Amino acid sequence: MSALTMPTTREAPTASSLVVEQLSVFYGGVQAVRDVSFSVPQGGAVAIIGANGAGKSSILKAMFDLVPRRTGRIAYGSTDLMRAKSHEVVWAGIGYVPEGRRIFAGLTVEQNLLLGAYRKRWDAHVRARLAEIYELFPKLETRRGRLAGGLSGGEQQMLAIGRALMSQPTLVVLDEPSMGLAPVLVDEVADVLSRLRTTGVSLLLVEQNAELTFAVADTCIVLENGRAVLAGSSGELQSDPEVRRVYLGL
Amino acid sequence: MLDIGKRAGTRYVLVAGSIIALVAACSPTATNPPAGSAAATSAPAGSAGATASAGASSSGPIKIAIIDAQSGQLSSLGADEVQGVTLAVNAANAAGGIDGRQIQLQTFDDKGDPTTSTNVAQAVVSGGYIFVFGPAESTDTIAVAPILNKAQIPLITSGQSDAIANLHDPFVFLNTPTSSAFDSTLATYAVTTKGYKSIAMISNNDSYGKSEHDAFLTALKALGVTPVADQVVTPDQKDFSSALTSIRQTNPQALFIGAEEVESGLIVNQAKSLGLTAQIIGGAPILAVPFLQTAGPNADGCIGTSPYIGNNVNDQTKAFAAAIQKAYGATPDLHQAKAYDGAQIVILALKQTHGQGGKALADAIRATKYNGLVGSFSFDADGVGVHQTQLAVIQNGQAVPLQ
Amino acid sequence: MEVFVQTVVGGLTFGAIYALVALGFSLIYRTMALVNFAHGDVLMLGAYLGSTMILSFRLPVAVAMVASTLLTAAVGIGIERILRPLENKDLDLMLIGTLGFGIVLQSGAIIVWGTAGQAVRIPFGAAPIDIAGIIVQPYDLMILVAAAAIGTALYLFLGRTKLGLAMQASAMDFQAASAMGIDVGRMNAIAFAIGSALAAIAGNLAAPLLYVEPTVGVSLGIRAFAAAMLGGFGSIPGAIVGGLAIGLLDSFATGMFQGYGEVVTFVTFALLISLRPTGIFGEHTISRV
Ligand SMILES: Nc1ncnc2c1ncn2[C@@H]1O[C@H](COP(=O)(O)OP(=O)(O)OP(=O)(O)O)[C@@H](O)[C@H]1O
Ligand SMILES: [Mg+2]
Repeated sequence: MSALTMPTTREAPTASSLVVEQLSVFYGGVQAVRDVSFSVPQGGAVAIIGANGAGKSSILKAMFDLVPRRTGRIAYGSTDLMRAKSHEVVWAGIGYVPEGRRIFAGLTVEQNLLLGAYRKRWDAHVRARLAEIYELFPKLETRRGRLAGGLSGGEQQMLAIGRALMSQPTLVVLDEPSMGLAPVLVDEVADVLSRLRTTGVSLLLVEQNAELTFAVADTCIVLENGRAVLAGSSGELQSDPEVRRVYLGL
Repeated sequence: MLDIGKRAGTRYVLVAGSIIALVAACSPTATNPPAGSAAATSAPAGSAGATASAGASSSGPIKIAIIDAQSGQLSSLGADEVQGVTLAVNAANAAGGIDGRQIQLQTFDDKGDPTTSTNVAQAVVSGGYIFVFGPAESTDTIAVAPILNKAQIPLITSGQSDAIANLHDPFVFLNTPTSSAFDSTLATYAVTTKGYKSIAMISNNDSYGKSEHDAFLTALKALGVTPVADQVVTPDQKDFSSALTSIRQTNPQALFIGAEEVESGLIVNQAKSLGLTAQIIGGAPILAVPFLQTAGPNADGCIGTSPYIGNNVNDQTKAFAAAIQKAYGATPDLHQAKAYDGAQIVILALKQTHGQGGKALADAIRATKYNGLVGSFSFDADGVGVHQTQLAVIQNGQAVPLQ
Repeated sequence: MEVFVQTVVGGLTFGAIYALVALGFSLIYRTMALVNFAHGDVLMLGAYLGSTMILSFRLPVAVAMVASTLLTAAVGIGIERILRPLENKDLDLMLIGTLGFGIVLQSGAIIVWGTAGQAVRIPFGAAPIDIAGIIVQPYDLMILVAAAAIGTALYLFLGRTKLGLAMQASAMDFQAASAMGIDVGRMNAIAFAIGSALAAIAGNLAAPLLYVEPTVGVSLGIRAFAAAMLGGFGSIPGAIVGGLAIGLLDSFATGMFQGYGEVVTFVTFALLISLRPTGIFGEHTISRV
C-alpha cells in the first residue's frame, strides 16, 4: 500500500493547529459542554475520552456548527470556525467522520467518496485521490457501484473514513471510528490513522476503544459531564488505573 | 433535531398565516351588498311579531327581503341576484315607487346553506317583510318555502329545479323555466325539428350532470327515442378518449353533453380531435363564456339552450346589459336577467295591490303577464312563468338565436 | 379494440402530464425530503403566467413558455427562502407551510385573474395522425416526448452530475452533507427552482388540453402525487412510470366504470400502495435525523 499523499498547497490550506478555548455547548436548557479548552498541534493527534453522554460528540459537532448554541472560541489556523457555516468548515481543511457513520445510504460507494471531495473540481487529482482511498480500503473498490446503505457496518465505517479523506484534509476529526467494528478491523483503522499521521495530518479522535486510542493519540483529554477533568500524554493516562477502569473499561 | 431558529420559524409561519388571512379578506368572494340594497338605510327591525302578518302596514316603505348567499362558495350567484333585483327596484323607486311608497330592499345572507336559509327566513317573517327574492339555490328555496307560506309571504326564486314546482305552493314563483324545460326544448328540437334518430349522450355524475342526464333521457323517451350511447364521466375527468371512442363507434347524428361549462368544452375539444362529427347539443353551459373559451373554434356549430342567450340578442337585452354595466361594472348573464325579470313582475303586481302583500300579492303575481328578458311570463298553478327555453347556435364564438 | 387503443393513447397523454408534475414532487423530495403540497398550485401559476403572456401580451408560445417557466422558478426560490428558517428543523411546520403557500397562490390567482379562467389553443395546427381509426394528436406525442426527455435529463442530472449528487445527499443526511462542504440551503433553493420550473412546464404543456383556472392545479396535483407515490416517492423513473400508470389507470377506470371510474382509480391506487408501500422504484426510505 502506498502512503497517502499530502495535499499540495494549491489544493488545500497548509496544516495548522486547532485551538479550542472555553467551549460550551447548549441544547436548549441543557449544557452538554462546559468551558472546554484544548488544542491539536500541527501533525498532532489528540483523543477525547469519557463516559457515554460526557459531551465528546458535542465538541466535534460544535466545530461544524451542528449544535443549537455554542460559545467560546474555535480556530483552525487563521480560520475562525465560530464564524464559519457548517459547509465552510471543510474549506479550512478539516475532514469529519461523524458518529454513526452517516454515509449517504441511497448513493453508491463511489458517489459517497466523490462527495467527500465536493469542494474540489472532480478532475484527475480527485480521481487519483479516489484511487488512493481504494488502495487504502480495497473492500470499497470491490463495492464501488453498490448502494452504500447495503454495505456491512464495518464497510460503512471504512466508507465514512474514506469519504472524509477525499477532501485531503489537514485535520481529520473522527467520532468513534471503531464503533461496531470487529477487532481485526479496529487494527486496520488504527493502521490507517497511524499512516495518515506519517503524512503530517493532524487527528482529533473521540474513542472508547483503548487500543485504538493509545495506538493513535499522543495526548488524551478526559471529559466528565461536559468538563475536561484530566489531560495528559497517552503514556501517562494509559498507566493511570482510574482512567483505565472508568473510561476505557480495562 | 436542532432547536436553533425554531422560534424564528414559527414567526415565519405566522407571517404566512396572516398573508393567507389578508388574501382571504380581499378576495372578491367577500361581496359587499351593492349600493342601494338598503343595507345602509334599513329601518330598525323594531316591532317584530306585531308586523308578522303579511302586508299589515299600509304606509311607509314597502319592505322586501333578498335571501341569498352573500358569502361562501355560492356567493357569486347571490351577488348576481342582488344586482338584477336592485337595478329594477331602484328604477321603480326613482319613478315614484308604489303609489308614492318606496320599496325598501334588505339583503339577508344565507351562505347558500339550507339551515341558514331557514333561520334567515324566520328573521324575514318577524321583520315584517311582505315579499322575498331568492334564494338562488333550489335546495335553499325548498327549505324556506314552508316558513314563508305559513306567513303568507310570496317569493320569487332563481332556483330552477322541478322540485320547486312540485311543491305546488301558491306563494312560490320561479323566474326561470324549470330544468326539464331546457331538456324538453332541446329534445324536441333534435327529434322533431331535426329528425335525428341516433342520439348519443355523455354526462357527468355530479348533481347537475345527473339531473341533465335524467331530464334529457326522459324528454327523449317521451318522444320515442332511445339514445344509442349513454356514457357517464366524472366532473374531474380530463381524458374522455374511452367514452368518446365508444360513442364514435355508434356513429350518432347528435351528441348531448350534460356537464358544466369547462368540462363540456374539454369534451367537445376531444370529440373533435377524435373525428366525431355529430351535432353537439347541450344546455345552458354551451352558451356560457367558459365553454366558449375552452372549446374555442370547436364551439362553432354547437347548439345550446337557455332562457337567456346573451346580451346582444335584441334591444331589450342590450339595454339591460348596458344598465348593469353602468350600475355595477359587470357583464350580466342569465342570473342577473332572471332576477331582473322577477323584480319587474313583483313591481307590476305591487302596483295592482297598491302595496298590499299576502295572498293578494301572490294572486296578483300569478295574474301578471310580462314579456321579459328570459321569455314571456304566464304563470301556471305551480308558479312556473316561462315554459320553454330558447335555442342558440354558436357562430364565430358567439351565441346566436336559432331561427 | 379501437376503444382500447384509443384509451391507451388518451391515458398516456395525460399520464405524461402527471409524470411531469410528479417529477417536480420527486425532485424536491429527493433534495429536501419534503413533500411540497404547493406544487399543484405552482403549476397553476406557471399555466396562468404562460397563458396570460400568450393571450394578453401576444407573446409567441415558445417565449411565453420560457419566460413563465423562469418566473415560476423565481417564485419557487422565493417560497424556499421563506421556508428556509424551518428547513432541517421542523418538517411538520414546513409541510404546513407548503400547504399555506398553496392557498396563498390560489387566492393570489383569484385576485389577479379572477375566478373565471382562460383558455389557450394548441400552438401548432398539425394534422392528427390516423392509424386505422386510432387518432393520435401530434401535440399529445410532443407531451410524451417532453416528459421522456425531461425525465431522462433529470435522471442524468441527479445521478451523474456533482450538483445532482449533492442535492440527493442533502436529502439523505443534511448534516453529513454540510460537513462535506455542501451548502444545503443552496441545494434546497435549486431544488425548488427546478421543481417549480418543471411545474410551470407541465402547466404550460397541459394548458391547451385544459382550462386555466385557479383550481387547475388541484386535480393534477393529486394525480401527480399519487403517481409519485406509485412510482416510489423521490424516484425519477418512478415518477415517469407512476405518471403514465396513473394516466392509464384513470382512463381505463373511467372507460370501464364510467361515473365510478375515479373511485376505482383511487381504490386501485390505494390497493397497489398497500401491497408495495415503497412504490415501484422505491429503493430506500429516507430517514431524518
Ligand atoms: N440533540 C440533542 N438534544 C438534547 N440533548 C442532547 C442532544 N445531543 C446530545 N445531548 C445531550 O448532551 C450530552 C452530551 O451528548 P454527546 O452526544 O456529546 O455525548 P457523548 O460523550 O458523545 O456520548 P456517547 O459516548 O454516548 O456518544 C448528553 O447528556 C446528551 O443527552
Ligand atoms: Mg458521542
